[in-house]
Amino acid sequence: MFDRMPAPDPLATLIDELREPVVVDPASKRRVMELVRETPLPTVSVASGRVLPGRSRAFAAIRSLRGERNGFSRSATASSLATAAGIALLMAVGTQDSATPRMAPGRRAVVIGDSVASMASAIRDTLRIVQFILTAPAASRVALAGDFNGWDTRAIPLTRDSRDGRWAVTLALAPGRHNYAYVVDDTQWVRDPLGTPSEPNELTPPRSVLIINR
Amino acid sequence: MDLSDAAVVRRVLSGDVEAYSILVERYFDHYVRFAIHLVGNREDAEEVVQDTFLRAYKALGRYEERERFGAWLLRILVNRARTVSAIGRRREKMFPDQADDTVPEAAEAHPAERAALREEVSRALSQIGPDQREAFLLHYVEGLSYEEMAAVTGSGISALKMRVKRSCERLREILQGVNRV
Repeated sequence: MFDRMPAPDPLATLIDELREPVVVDPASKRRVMELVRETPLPTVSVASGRVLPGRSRAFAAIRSLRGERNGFSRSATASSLATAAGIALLMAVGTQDSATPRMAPGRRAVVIGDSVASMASAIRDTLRIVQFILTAPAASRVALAGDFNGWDTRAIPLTRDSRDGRWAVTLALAPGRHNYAYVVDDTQWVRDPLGTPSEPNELTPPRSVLIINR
Repeated sequence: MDLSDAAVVRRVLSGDVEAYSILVERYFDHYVRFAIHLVGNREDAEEVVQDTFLRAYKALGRYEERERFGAWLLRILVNRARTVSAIGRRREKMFPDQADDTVPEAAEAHPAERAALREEVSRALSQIGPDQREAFLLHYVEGLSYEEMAAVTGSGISALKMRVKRSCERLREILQGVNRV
């Protein structure tokens, strides 16, 4: 279950290289917005009520698979894997006693294991199992949003540990760069206190970046 | 504030045009990377991605929230990249002496190991067919499942699996050939 791909595979090296982020000139993005501002506001098309079976099924497949990949189903798998591997996590316990929704670092997002997701031509694409933890004892709800789930603020809720106010969720993510943030009580965007901050941008909420190596 | 992709789309459609830059910020760099590998050079890639965002904006009223915005955008991007790649191939046939030389001939000529690796990667990708390249990148670099790839490309799952398998075999041959030099 936890076997690694046999090193040195030239194809694995190629995939790693292809996953490296590229630096884009900000002017290129500004140009998009210039063009957008010159374009009439799009209008919402009225649903005709017609059913497009093929398309609908395909979209449904995307939804369900995305949910499984990033949500609880996958989390359950990830948890099982972590347990099976006997991985013990030492977690910093927050000691907040305030009723205000203060956030404290429990532990930054950490990679805790592997899961072999697929295989083709003897190339194993390994997902890394990552645990996200936020200490927020006064919060009623905490969710994880990121570019891996379209920044959906409800799709990946964290589970609260009532003993110490820690909220946690475990996901299987592909190697690469992932931007993410926590959403507390549906309204407050919180960067991972111990994570690496993403490049600041006035238009987006606070974000952290997690880089997962193969 | 709900800043999910779907919520941002709703803001744009309600008249907040500037909110669209949130989506540009979220996806632009990532998809430029994908487009570079797909079309083979940065200049065309950035144009393709710019055009993708503009087309997506114009079509935003037809976006359905049940689909992930990133996947919807990727579908537009793949179509635009196919068009640009096809034009490039026609141009190379008509003007072979002016063919795009963004794929260097010899990795050994570059002293920097990293630069050599990038060249090797570019050269390997350029030597497989566009359909195989597209399937390989979507599966192994973008991390899409075959069901997601089918929705993005409009191709069948069996065909996509075959393309990925063949692309892996071909790329391994190419890369091992390079390493033997």
